[in-house]
Amino acid sequence: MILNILKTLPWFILGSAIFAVPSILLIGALFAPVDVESSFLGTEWVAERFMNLDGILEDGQDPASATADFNYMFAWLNVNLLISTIVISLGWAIGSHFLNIDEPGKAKFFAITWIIVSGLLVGILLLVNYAILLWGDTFYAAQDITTASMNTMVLLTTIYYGLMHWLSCVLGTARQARSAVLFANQLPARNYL
Amino acid sequence: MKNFLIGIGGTGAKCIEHLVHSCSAGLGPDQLWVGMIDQDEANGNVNKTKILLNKYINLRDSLRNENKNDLSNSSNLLKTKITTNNDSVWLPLKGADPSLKEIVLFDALKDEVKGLLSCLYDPQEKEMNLSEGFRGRPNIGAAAMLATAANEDDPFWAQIYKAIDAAKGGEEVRIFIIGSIFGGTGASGFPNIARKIRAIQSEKGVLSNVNIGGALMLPYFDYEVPDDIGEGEIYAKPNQFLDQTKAALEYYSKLFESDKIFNQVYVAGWDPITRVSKFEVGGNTQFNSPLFVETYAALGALRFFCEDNKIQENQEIFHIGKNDSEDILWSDIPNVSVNLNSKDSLMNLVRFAFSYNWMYGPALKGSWSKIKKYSNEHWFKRLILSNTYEDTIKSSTIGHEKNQEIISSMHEYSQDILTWISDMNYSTVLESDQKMKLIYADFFSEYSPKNNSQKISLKEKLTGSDKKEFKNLFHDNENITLAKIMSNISYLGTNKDQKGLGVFMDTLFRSCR
Amino acid sequence: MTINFYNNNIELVDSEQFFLLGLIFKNLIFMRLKIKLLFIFFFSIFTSSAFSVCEPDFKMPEIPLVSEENKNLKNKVYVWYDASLSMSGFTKSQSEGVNLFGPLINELQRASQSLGTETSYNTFGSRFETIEEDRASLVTTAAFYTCTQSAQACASKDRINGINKVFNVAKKNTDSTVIIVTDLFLSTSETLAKNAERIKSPLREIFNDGKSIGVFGISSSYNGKISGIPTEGGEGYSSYSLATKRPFFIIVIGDGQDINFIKSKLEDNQKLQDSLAEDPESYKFTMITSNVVTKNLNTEKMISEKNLVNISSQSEDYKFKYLDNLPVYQFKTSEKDYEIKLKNSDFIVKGSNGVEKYKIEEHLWSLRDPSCKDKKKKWGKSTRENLVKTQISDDTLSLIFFEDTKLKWGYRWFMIANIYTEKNGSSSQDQFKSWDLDDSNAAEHLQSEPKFFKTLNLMNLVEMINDVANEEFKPTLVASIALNFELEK
Repeated sequence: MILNILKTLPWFILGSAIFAVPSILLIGALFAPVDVESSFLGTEWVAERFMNLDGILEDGQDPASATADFNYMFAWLNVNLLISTIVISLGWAIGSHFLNIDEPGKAKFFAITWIIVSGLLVGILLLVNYAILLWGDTFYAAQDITTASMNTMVLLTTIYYGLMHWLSCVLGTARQARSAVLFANQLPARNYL
Repeated sequence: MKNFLIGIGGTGAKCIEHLVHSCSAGLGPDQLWVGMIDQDEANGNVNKTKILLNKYINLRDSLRNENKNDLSNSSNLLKTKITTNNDSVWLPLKGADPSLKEIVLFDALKDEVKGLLSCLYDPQEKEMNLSEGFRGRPNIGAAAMLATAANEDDPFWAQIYKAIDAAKGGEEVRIFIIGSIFGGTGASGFPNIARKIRAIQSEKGVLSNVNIGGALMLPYFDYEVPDDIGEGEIYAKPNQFLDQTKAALEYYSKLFESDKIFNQVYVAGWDPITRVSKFEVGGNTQFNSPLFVETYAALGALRFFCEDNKIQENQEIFHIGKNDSEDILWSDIPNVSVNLNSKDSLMNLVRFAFSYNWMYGPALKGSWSKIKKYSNEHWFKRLILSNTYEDTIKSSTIGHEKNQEIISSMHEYSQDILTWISDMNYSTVLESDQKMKLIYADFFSEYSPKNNSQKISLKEKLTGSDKKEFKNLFHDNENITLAKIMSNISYLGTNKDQKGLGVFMDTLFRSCR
Repeated sequence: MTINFYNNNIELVDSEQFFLLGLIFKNLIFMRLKIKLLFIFFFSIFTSSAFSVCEPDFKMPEIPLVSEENKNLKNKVYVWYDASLSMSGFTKSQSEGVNLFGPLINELQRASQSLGTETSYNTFGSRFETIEEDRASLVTTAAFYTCTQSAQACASKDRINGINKVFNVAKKNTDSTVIIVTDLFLSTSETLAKNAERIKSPLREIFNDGKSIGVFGISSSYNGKISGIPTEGGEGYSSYSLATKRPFFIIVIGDGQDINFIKSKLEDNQKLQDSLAEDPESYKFTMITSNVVTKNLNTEKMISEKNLVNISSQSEDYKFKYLDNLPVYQFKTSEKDYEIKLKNSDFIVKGSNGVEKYKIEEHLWSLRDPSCKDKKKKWGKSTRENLVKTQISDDTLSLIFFEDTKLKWGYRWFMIANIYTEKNGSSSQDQFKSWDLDDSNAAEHLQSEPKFFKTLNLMNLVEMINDVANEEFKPTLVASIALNFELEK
């Protein structure tokens, strides 16, 4: 069983990496000081898109400083979302090997299990989003975004990490359980895949 | 190396059944010719073994077809190439109702010879119809066999002659004979067939390369003779088995001292003796369930054929028995060799049979329109679809007749394996204090000891809890779940040499390890 | 004696031993000193950093300094009696009604003695002059009002109140208290155009000096002739002798507390109390001032921890201190709004109409690092407005900070609120309306042969005083308060 898990893990890593790598690069760029040019991409667009600059100026605050705080918050948001997604997806990838698929045709019934796990992940993503952006008291930069921007961020991050979860499940699910994951059974079946 | 196995009598045939299943599990040599000797042509066990042999051979041929479906040489499933004659049974005495009197041409004998014969055989024995065997009379059987010439044109003996010729050509030949020391055909044929082979060897001037082994079965079963049997009826009397055995052992003791006919002899017996449920004089109703001790004979034969087994100069006699307790355990089953673990291989085979019979066989049976619902599952895509796909029809040929025949044959063969192991499991300890601790068969089979034609009925379908019981199939803790098998068939690599259904069959077989 | 230095044994002779011991001893002392100094150094750094100020650069509000004048010093009191003939009617007894003139004027005289260092008595109306105390003592007698001139002249003089002259004098004696006793029966011409300006002009100066004017109206029995009543159609004047009651007025110009002193003395008079018991309308008072604020609360540091009502002084990180007379409340809270309560009596002239409206000058700064440790983060001046609401009651002034504003948590905020008066409370002048008589209804009033005769152009004068007071109103800084707080979620 361990061997089978180890055979599938590289595919899981590949599926995760497609979304995780840009996320990590973004996080790195966000953690970098505002005045340092990021080799990945400028994160100004993030701040400009989501921040309520009028409110910041009204409080007499410097937009650059506010942007730095916002970037910091957004970076940590992505860290938490990334970790949550990896944990849940990895849990599914490993757990799928232990599903009781003991005969042909049984795998598709575990789609319910996968949906529940995915739903759990979506719930966690929303929880993390709102905990950081709305309910929590760790990042005061959360106040620098409007409600509409917050909702947009929640939606976009949930979609992004949801897709990451889906792709890592497609590639990382135990072969016998692929029918449980949406479109995973469309993958070619090879000795190595 | 050329290998020949001769099973004499009903016991020999039963032992061959065990051997065939062992060969299915990969315990046998690469090649083996099998023949049976029984005067009782219609013997139930002999017929059963004949059918089994045919199934095995046909199935193996279907799955070792380099062009279509090929398990390839690397697979242990149906590893041994078993061949046999069109009629795998040799009748020593041909004719409609042969008797000893006719065989020895009693009427044409001189009086003094007649007198001698009359001393040795009572009139009943001389007149006894031998078409249903020698009825526990090895004296009759021996005389009858000796009187029959080893005719090279006879298909049976032609194989022996070929073997000797091969030995002459430098190839090692191993011939193994299985028979009982008690009873009729086996007792009479065991030493005499061996002698005949040695005679042919001598005749052909072959001094070496011919090794003969034998499994000599001591009394291991008896039966209750019904009260309504006729006074003058000749039959194998169980109360005489031990006396016969004692006398026979004395004979063999002297034989082995004086005449090195056998290179290796495997002796096995059972205590307490198993009481079989039905008594028959002979014919197709003389049909006994497989018993555990017969596995010893089969494994002894496979050990003899194994290349790791080096035949010594001196004659070797091996005896085997189970442990002292009342329990029959997996540890009572000897390994064929250091590299061939009997327990693992047999467990593997039973798991394969189980999972194929109830899980995979039914999924693969039917037309493509029925089967294709599995077409998105990894195991199916990798093992079936990609190996049975035909570009011309842009579809899989799994639903085609030829493939369906193979699937059905394997399904049937799986049932034979399960029936064999279940019957052995129950019958060995029927009406005994002994306990069979090999497999749990209750959850997938039903045992009806009184139903001689079908003592074991396998369940048609298994419930969820039945499937869960699979992980407790063997008393030994080395159990795996059906889910593990499914996982294995998804992950185990395939052999590039394998083709068609051979890919799936071998992968499933290996997944059951 | 052997000393081990780094495992090298060194043997010393005695003298060297003593020298070494001395050296060691000296070194030890020096080391202890060094340790002490180090301790003090780090302690000071620590404590200074702990108590280092986390405030933006702000302009300190202009809090008035404590006045050096000795508040206990008494000033001169000028008492002006209206010597017009019609005033004599107050000195004669009347069978109907209670005469309050005599008792109250006596009371007034006594009070004025206590009020100032010296009292100067003067008359106006028929005669504009300073009088001796002997003559002043006759003010409650008819003889005081005798006119020695011709009847025509006396009658002519009687028509003109001439209070504007008194106001002129009052404006010159800004640090004195001026008390005027008069019937306040002004001719209409005195309240118009230039004459009105003659009244208003000194009043402006009076109010400008921060003085208040208290107007006492007392309804007393009357037995005399009231002259100068306009006839119908504006043709001349008539007089009336049948009134048994009419009000007289005491006008006090001075500090609010002096006015209140007079007021308390008058109101304590038993006769007045008895009269009030019978007729509550017999006494009216109003204080008119351009500046109802007696003092700036910061000057004498009258604002304390208790004024911030909804933040406990026991809470974490709470500090209250004065920064050059500016009270600074420093705290950490998750409360969204704060209330500071000030007692009106601490800063509003007692008896005045108080303040109707306040103006709050707000300055707000924010800092993204509440702990003030990140040197990169600076205070920023906020442009938010309308951060403070006022709630005015009879006793208190409540300042509600940030009721309608949502400040961001996780920030440190610094707020300075300067509270100014914007509009004084409405004068209680309307209470005098019932005693008012003007040209249009004077003839009618006369014809009705009233027992209680109203006062001509009373409201004109009162309104004039009020209007001037309002004109001279300048926003006064009541208090300046600073809040320096860390807002938690």
